[in-house]
Amino acid sequence: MEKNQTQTNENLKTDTKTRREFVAGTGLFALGLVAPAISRGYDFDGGLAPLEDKKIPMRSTPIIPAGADNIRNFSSSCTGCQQCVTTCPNQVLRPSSDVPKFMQPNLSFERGYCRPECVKCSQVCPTGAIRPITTAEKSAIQKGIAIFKSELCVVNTDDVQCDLCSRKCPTAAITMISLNADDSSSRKIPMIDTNRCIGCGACEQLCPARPFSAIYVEGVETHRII
Amino acid sequence: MSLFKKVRVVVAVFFVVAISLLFLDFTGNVHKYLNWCSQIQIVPAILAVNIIALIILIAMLFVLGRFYCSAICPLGICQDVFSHIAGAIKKNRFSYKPSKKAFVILRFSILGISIVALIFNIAIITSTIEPYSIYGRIISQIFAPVYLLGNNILAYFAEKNGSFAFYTVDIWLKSAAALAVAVISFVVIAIFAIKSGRGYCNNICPVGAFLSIFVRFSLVKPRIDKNKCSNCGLCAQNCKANCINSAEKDVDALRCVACFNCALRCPKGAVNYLPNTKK
Repeated sequence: MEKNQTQTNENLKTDTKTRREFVAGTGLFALGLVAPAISRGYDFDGGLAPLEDKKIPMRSTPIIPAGADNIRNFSSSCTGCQQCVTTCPNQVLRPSSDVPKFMQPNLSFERGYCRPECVKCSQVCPTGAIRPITTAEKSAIQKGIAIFKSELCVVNTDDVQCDLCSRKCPTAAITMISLNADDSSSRKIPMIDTNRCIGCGACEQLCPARPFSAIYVEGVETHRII
Repeated sequence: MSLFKKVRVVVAVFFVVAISLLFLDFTGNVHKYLNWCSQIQIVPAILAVNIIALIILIAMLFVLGRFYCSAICPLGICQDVFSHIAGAIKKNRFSYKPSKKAFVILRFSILGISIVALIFNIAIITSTIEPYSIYGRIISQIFAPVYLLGNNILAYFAEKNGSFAFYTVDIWLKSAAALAVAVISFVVIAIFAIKSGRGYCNNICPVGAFLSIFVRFSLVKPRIDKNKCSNCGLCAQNCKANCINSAEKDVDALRCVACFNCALRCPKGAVNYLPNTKK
């Protein structure tokens, strides 16, 4: 009887041991899977050339989501719950760490741009800091204005032709103009129509200049319908 | 189990799962069905001037007391989870603590400061003290990356087998400050819950303090039947708000979060929630 007892005990011991090994093994296996899965997110250019990560430009006015109307109104109703930040499918929203707007979301375009056809953040905001808007409304709300920094543009730094920003602009706010006004065959640089720009950041996100984009979006205090 | 507690547990589990999903789901599908769960949270409802939600919440306050704290507030339910685990290790771990004046002053000062911060738009105070935001940050900063990792593992396997049911998502640190705030608040909440049950809700939380003001008028609250009570003290030992004075057979309604655990523990059936209607 007693012998039996010890035997079952031993059985139990080996049982827990194998279980532990199994758990550890699964953990390691999962880790091995995860490493490539995580790193895969980064070669969105197809892995053809090594890419330097973009840096967030200094914006004197933060960009807030369309539907927030104005910065005062937005910062007084937002409690920083991160609902919009986790929902944003374009990876443009992130919490601010500045004291006056602590934990409230700001837009930045290092990983994507604010697509005119997406209104997810306005739909999920529980406090009404971002009021619900339709995609039609959103495509006409100016939440920022693109600014061109000539000295960073690859046309000037690398002497190559590039018109990504103007090709990707959803509102056709960017026209390419000749670098040299007298010579129509010279390389072309972008010119921004501030009455058409909605501040979506497509130009900033796709700009090939590194680490700072040659075209970036500056926020506006009060959103405007254009 | 009494009907009150059954309802409380079912509602609480529903809300904590639903609200966690709102912060975990990246596809946007959950929001179509569960968005209302975040809209009936009290501070968001006040800020959004959501009249319907406010009427429901006020009605609930006058009928069920601080049922909001124990079944709708995700941060409160999250503390109950910790408290439940600590309770499984050490049974009957609570005891009555008389209401200290200093704590009452602290509590209502925080409420005052929060109201001032809300009116004068001091974001650093509002966003760090609002319970729904605290919970949102805990889930979105600490647990969402784990959830996304799980999704990426499933996506990897699915893709290997030719299925595109899942897709790989980027996991990245959106803000180091937000992560730090989330970790600090998570640790503080966990310590409070393990040490003192609902100590956070009854000493710090401005929403808890605000709801306490009206709780004396509520219909449902624990009442001890003096004739049935045998002074065993089990109700007080299982009260996570430390608010039952079993010696005096009195309940400090200001701190009661309507969790309905006391009647469950009472061997004599001496705790009633509805007012005694004389036959």
